[in-house]
Amino acid sequence: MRRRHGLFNVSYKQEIAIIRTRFEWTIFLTFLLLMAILPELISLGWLDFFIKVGITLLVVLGLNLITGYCGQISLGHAAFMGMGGFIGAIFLDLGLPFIAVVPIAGLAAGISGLIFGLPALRVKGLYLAFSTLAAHYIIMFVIVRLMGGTHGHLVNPPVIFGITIDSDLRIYYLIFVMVTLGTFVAKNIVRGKAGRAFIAVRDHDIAANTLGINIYYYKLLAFFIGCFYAGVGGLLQVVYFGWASVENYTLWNAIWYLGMIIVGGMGTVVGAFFGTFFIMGLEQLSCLLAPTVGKTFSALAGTVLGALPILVFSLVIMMFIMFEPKGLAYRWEIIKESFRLFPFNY
Amino acid sequence: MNEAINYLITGAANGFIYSMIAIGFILIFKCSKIFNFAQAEMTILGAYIMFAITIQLKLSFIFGILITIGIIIILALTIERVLLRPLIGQPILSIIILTLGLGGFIKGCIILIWGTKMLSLPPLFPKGGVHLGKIATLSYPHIFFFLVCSSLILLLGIYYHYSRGGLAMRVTADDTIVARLLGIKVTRVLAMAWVIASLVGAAGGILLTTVTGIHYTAVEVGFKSMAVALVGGLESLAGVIVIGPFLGIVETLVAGYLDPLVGGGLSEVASFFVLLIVLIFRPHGIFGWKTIERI
Repeated sequence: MRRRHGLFNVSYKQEIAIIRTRFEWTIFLTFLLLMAILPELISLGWLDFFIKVGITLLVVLGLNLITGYCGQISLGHAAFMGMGGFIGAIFLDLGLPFIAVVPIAGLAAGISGLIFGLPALRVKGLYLAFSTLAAHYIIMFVIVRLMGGTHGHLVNPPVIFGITIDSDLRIYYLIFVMVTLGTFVAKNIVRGKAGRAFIAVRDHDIAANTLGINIYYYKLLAFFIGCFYAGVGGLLQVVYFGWASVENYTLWNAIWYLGMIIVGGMGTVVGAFFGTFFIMGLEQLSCLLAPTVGKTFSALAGTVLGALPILVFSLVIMMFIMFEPKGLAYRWEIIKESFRLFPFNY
Repeated sequence: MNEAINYLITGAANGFIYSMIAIGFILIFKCSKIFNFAQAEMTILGAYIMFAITIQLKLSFIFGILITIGIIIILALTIERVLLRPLIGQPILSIIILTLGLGGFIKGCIILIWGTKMLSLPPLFPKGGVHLGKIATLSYPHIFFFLVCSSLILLLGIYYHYSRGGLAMRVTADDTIVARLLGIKVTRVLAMAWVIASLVGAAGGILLTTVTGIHYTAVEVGFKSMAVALVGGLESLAGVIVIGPFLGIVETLVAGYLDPLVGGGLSEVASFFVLLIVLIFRPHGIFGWKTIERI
């Protein structure tokens, strides 16, 4: 990222700082504050939207590590999320405290990610895409057969430090904390040794191998961390819905997550935010619009409601790949750059 | 024993359909290195168009087939020209997600036009079947599957190996630049590959849905065919013809003997299990070529 001129990094600490200038700190803290007081400003329906965005954000951050940074396409992310959700629900049923269940759910998803990431050691690109698609079906089969997926799991509201998480407001703050933490960790992973190795593997795995990077280790590491995120996201979703159900983990969900990365911009943490907000916002919009459309063409009402989000989403994805393959994060950089250089063009 | 033979026959018949659809994938992949995930939706789209023409518009069956072929050809050409030709040479990830998006778009259109109800085509084949002594029964749909698929596969093979168009296709698959130097219109070859792939896909979809009924979740037929293509190896047409019936038989055998034990559903993922195992031990498929990568 470019900064205004005259700002020199004089120590390593400054060089690697995530937030460097006072202006950036101001923006960051304002954003955090805004998010913290958000529930006061919006209606319950929109709070629901922001909670869902938060859950999806965790999942997409994880997928971004696998696909955006390490270049290993994963179509099984919805299933990994389901793994975390269901294992989490089972352990919550056993009466374990929520704090202990979070790592368990993450580990369950992470380990299943390791197992189904194994083909990534031998294959890549299209073959990997398809083997993760196969993984999706197999994991869903396991969930349905071994974890009682068809009936779902009722989950009681969890208790954290004596506070029962039973209202939307409390869940919002729980997810707010989780997403902040998740973003911080992700940001640190990608600027550290592991992140640089991921990027090298993505750009050219054989070249990375000749540079002494253990590509097998890093591919599996990416799968593990990414799926850990998905598992935690799945657990939070189960807690929010109060219900673990296979309905939430379809192949189509996994495609949505990939789409969010594409739209946001692959291989940037901020891209995960842009993509998730953009796609979920569109979905919300089409859900709001569908009744009006339905009223105008009353014969179509039911089907429009079902088809509109899919149509809008797939059109957006195709448009982005054809006309803006670098995603919104890239556009965002351009906009920032033009503000920095204003009133000149370059 | 009798039921085992019946399973074998049913599996092989379904498997031939998988092979036929998989050939479509392979033709496109060989010519342009593009793998079309939307093929899964194209297969059921064919069945839906057939339904619209024969049931909703009440036209005759022959008309139905002709018009379906026409619509599918136009669609294939449009998709190839507008969406995928600009993407040749782009990262594989973009292509995968674009075709997934395209599949979603087709699915959305299907839901929009036909809704989510289970529809059914008129029964094409008489009920019952031919009894082979006391051992097994060949039901008419399965005989028909065998006949249609094997004749289509045979036709494709003849086209691919003996006609000028097939020769052009083989050259393009081998080396696009050489093909251009020899005066072959590569774009036309690609369009041809797309038309063939979509047509065999639609044919497979129509055949299968006459038995199972049309529903938009039937895209899994397409995914299983992709599994066939990958297990067989993306370079080998002959491999796919062998692997299709093999996976089909595995599926019906699992459905017959293992599903009652685990409570159903295993047959749906059986071919994916096979795929994962094959990909771990032979990443390029059983009959595929091992590619050597350089920096």
